[in-house]
This record gives sequence, C-alpha cells and structure tokens, in this order.
Amino acid sequence: MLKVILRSFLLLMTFWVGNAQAALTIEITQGVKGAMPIAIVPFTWEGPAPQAPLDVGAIVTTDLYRSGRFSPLPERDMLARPSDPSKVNFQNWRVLGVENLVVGKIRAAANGQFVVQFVLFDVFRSSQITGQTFKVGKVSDLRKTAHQVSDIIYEALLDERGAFDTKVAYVTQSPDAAGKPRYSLQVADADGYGPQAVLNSNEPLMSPSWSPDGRKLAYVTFEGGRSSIYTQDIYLGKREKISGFRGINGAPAWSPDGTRMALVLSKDGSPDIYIMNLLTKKLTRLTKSYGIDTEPVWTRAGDAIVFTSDRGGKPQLYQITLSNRQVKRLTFEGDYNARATLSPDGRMVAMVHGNGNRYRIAVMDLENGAMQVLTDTRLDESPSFAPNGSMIIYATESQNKGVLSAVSVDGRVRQRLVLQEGDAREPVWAPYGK
Amino acid sequence: MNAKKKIVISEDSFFKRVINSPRFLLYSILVHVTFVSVIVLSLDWNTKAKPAPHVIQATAVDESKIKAEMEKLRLADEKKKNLADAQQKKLDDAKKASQREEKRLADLKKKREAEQRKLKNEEKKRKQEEQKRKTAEKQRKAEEQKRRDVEKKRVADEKKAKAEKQARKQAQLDKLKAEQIALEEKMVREEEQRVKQAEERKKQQELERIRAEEARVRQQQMAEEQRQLDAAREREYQSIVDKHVEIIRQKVTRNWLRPAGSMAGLACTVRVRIIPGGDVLDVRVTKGSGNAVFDRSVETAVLKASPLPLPADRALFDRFRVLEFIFDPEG
Repeated sequence: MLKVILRSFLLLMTFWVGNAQAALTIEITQGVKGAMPIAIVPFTWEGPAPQAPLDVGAIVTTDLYRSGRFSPLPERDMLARPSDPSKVNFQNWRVLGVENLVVGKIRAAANGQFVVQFVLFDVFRSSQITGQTFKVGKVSDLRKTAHQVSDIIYEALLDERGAFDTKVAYVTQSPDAAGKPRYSLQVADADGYGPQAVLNSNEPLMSPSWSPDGRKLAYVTFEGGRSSIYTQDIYLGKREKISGFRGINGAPAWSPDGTRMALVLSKDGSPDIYIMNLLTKKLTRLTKSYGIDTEPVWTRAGDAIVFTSDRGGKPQLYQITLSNRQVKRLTFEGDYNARATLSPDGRMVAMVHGNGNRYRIAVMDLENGAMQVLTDTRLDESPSFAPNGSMIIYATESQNKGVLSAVSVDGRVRQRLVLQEGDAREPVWAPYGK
Repeated sequence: MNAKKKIVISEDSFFKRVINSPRFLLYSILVHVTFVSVIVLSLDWNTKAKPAPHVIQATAVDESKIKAEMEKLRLADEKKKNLADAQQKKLDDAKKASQREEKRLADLKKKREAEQRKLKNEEKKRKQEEQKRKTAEKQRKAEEQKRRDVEKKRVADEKKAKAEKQARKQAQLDKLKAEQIALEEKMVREEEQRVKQAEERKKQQELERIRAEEARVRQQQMAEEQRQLDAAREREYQSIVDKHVEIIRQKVTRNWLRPAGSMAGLACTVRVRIIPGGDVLDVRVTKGSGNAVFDRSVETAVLKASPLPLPADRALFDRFRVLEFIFDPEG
C-alpha cells in the first residue's frame, strides 16, 4: 500500500516536474493590423498667460496620427490628465487599451523663452520609455519643438526615424493683385504649416527637386518664355541656371551624392534623359528613343535611373542602369504609370497609376512587382516619399483646386495638409538634410 | 614332394603289410620249405635209382646245378644203354666219385641241416624278433594310443581351457556388459530422476510464473484501470486545457498589434509567468526576432491580454503557470 502511494507520488512528481519543464506553448500567427494606441495628454501650461501659446500636445497628436502608425486616444476618452509623471496611474490607461502614454508640459521661462518637457511611458510595463526637456527660444519655434517631440516618440516606439520635423516643397498658383497667375515655390513644414515662398514668378514653375543635403532646390522655370533649370539655395536665396537648351529643359533630379543632375532635354530631338556633372556642367546623354523619356529619379545607390517612357506605346516606368545602359521595364499593370519616386530603402516605387480616367497613387514592391493603390481620389499626381519612407505626399484635386495630401505607405491614413491659398501642386518631401 | 611322400607311404605300406600280415610270412616260409623239400626228395630219388658216379658230375651245389646234373645224369643213362663199355670203365670212377659224392653229400646234408637249424634258429629268432617287434609295435601302439590319448586329453584340456578362458572372458565381458548396462541404467535412472526433478522444478516455476503473471496481470489491470481513469481525467483536463489555450490564443491575438511594414521572417518567443487568476507576472523574451519593435509588440500583446483566461479548475493551474508564446506571423 505504501508502495502504491509512493509510486503515485513519484508519478505525480514526474508529471509535475515534466510539466514544469515543458511549458504550454501557444503559437500566435495572427494579429491585429493597425495603428499603435497612444494617448498624448494635453501638455499643461505653466505660465502667466491663461493658456499656452501653442498646443504642443495637439501637434504631436496630429503628427503621430498622420503617420498612420498611431491611433491617438481622443482627449474626451481620457480618464485622467496627469502632467506629472509621478502621478500617472497606469491602470487608467490599461483599461482603455492604451499602450503608450505621453505626458508633458510647457513652462514659460525668462526672456520669452519656454521649457518643453515630456515623458513617454509604456503603460503595460509601467515604465518610462523616454523623455526630454527642450529649451525653446521663441514662440515660432514651438511648432518645430512639437515636431521634434513627435519624432522622438516615433523613433522610440517604432525604431525608425520620424519625419515630422522635415520640410516639403511645392508649387502654388494663385492670381496676383492684377489678376495674373502667380506661381510660387513654397517650402513648409511637413504638415503644411508655416509655408514660405522661396520663389515667385508670373511664369510657370515646375518640377522642384531637393538636393540631398536639403539645402537646395532645383526647378524648371519659364522665365523669358523658355524653359530652363535652376538650382537655388533655399536659405540664402542664391540661384543658378544650369540648363537652358533649346526645346525642353525639364524634370531635374539630384543624384544621391549631389554631384550630378539628371534632367530631360529635347535639344537633340525627342525628350531624352541626360546626366549633367554639376561641377563641370558636362552633359551625358543617357537615353535615345523616339518616344518621350522623362521624370528621372535616382536609385538610392546612384547606379541606375528610373524614368517614365512611352516607348512601349503608353507611359510606363523603366529603369536604366548607368554603367551598361541596360533598360528594363518595371510596370505592367494599368495603362499609365508615371512620375516615379523611390522609397528611401529602395524597396518600393510610388507612382501615378492611371487606369481608365482615374489617376491614383500606387506603390509597387520592386522585389515581387506587387502593386498597391493607396488613394481613391481621381486626379492624384506627384507622389513623393517622406525621408523615412513612412508616408507619401502627393497632390490631388479637391473642388477644382489643387490640394496636398499625405498617405501612409500602407494606405491606411490619408490626411490633407492644411492649406494655403491657391492651387498647390508638385509637392516634394525634403530629405533629412545634414 | 607329394609323390615322394606317396611312394614312402607305399613302401611303408608294403612294409607294414609284411610286418602286420602273418599270412604273407607263412607264404614265404612255405616257398622256402617246398624248395628245400624238392631238393631233398630229388636227392633221395637219385640215390636209390641211379649209381652214385652220375651224381658226382654235378658240381653245382645250387639248385640249378643240381637240375643240370640231373639232366646230365639222365643223358648219361641213355648213353649208358648205348655205350655199355664206356660206362663200365667209368663205373669205377663213379664209385669213387660216388663215395666222394656221398661224403660231400653227407657234408652237404650236414651243412643243410646246419643251415636248416640255422634257418630254424633264424626263423625262431625272427619269430622272436617278430614277437618282440609285435610287442614293441603293440607297445608303440599303446604308447601311440597313450600319446594320442594324452594329445586328446591335451586338446580336450586345451579346448576346455580355451572354453574356460572363453567362458571367463565371456563372463568378464558379460560382467562388464552387465556393469555397463547397470551403469547405463543407473544413468538413465539418474537422468530420469534429474529430468523428473527438472520437470518438477519447471512445473513449480511455471506455477510461480503463472501466479506472478496473474498477479502482474491483476496489477496491470488495476494499473490499466487507473490509467484509463487517469487518461479519462487527463483527456478531460486536456480538452479544458486545449480550450483555454485557444481562448488565450484568441485573446493574445486580439491584443497583438502587428507592427506595420515588412515583418517577413520575424518571430519571437516569450516565456510568460502567470499567477493564479491569470494575471501575467512577467514576460521574458527567450528568443527575440532581432527587431526591437516586433519583440516589444509581442510583450505588449501578452501584457495587454492579461489576465489570461484560465480554467476554473485550480488543479489545472500548474499547467498554465508558465506559458510559452511563439509569435510567428503568417505573411
């Protein structure tokens, strides 16, 4: 009897030990695709004025939302609004399924300066992820600080650099006082705020292109009734005409190393792609076809150029390798694919994808050729990747007016940029700069 | 050689016949007697019928001389008839011769008688010898017989000895055989005994084995019943566990916000400790994906899913004390 008991006990022990050794294994293969729940508690204001000169928390919220990667908790759903990190009750946020929490404050400092502080918490681990204190010299810089906070949060949670504190360039057209069309080359924050015209002209302005360091823009003007290509330092205003050949001078594109410019010239016949050495201004003809070859963009490595060509009958994207001039067609879906822009990691190409009479923004995986249409408007144009590849800015039409929008690369979030007077067209997202 | 032997046997046979047959001896004697008698008679007849001178002419002393003499005498007689004068002359001579003859005859007779005696003696001697020989023969025969008897006896003895020896040998053999048989029988008996004992032992062992087997079977049956009971309970438990694993899986899945972008090839394993009630005590990445955002999303998913729905039966808690989650998204 004792033996039986002992044996049972041993058996039980074995079972128990064995069980303890081999934990139940649960495999998770599915998940929810969606934005990361985050709560940005309105930054409290500490200063003489009744309220903060800028709602930094709101800007951060909008930034994060626009990226498509976050779903900020609406302010009205918050159970508490702590600003002091020590007063955070994580349970309040857990019950709401909020994974991350941002609390912060703006304090008025001496000499019209401000101190902006924020802390990012991991709600379920009850731990601080990051936090920072900024000294801001003037009110107008608070917006930039807000974008910096957004970038820090973005990078902390997604492990990739944010692109909120970046610029976009675009062309606007609006009638001037005399009723004549006035074209402006604008540079604004990535969210469209704070536009500043770097060039005004009564002649059309086209095809702005950022230099890799984010200091210069190349563009096409019709000053004097003829197309020509200029480069211009956006901070110093200094401009230089680099191309004024007979016929078309269009679609400039800086090489990744900034030493060369790809451009489209028709001086030798039909529009073809040339490469200009920016130092020597020496031209090299890259393509030679009877059709139109235009809209060149450099690959990240700078060893090939993706361009639009109608050599196949209808505009499609092609890629030419610089070393051996080998051309391969990239797009086959739809009857119009043009205006390529390559993602910073080089994996994707975004384009205007025309099917029927609809022109929408699509991305194609260069590895497997999978095409995904990101927008569902009708006349989308000029896509441009954010420097972190998370978003694409593009122009579209709304109520017969050109407007700018941004779409997350997964197409989940589209948001129109606050606008500005007149038609906006041809947005280009600036690189991070140096 | 064979022939020679035959011849010898033949001579021997003749000799034996002469010696052994008295009749043959008698014939011999008779011949001799007859011859002597003839001579005697003739001598007597001549003496009576004829004058002695005639006889003197016969000089031969032997029988043929006698015969020739007698012939001569007869011829002389005839001549006498014819020639009476010659004969008368001669008569004187004859008378002298006859006297000489008579003396010679007397001598001869004496000689003959001596010879006769000698013959008789010889005969006697011969007979004696014969007797002696016969006796010797008899003795020899007796000896021979005796020898034969001895030989016979010897042979018999030998035979007897041989037989005895044979018998002894046989007896010995028989004895050996008997011993052998006895030994064999003994061995057989012992073997039988051994076999019997072995069988007995085997039987005993078999019995014990059967008893043990029965006990084992009983125990096995009991164990089997217990096992079945356990198995049934285990199945029940398992179904509860499975159900809750699925519920937990669903809850964690609902709470797992898969990071945007390409997560191809990323997988993360976490070890999760649970406290009774299902609250997650901690989450530890045991095999990270190499992507911090991905790993964090996994940890957050488990933490967000806390408390994990556990079976009401607290006995099953041990199985949920430590859970391992493998986040391996498809596509």
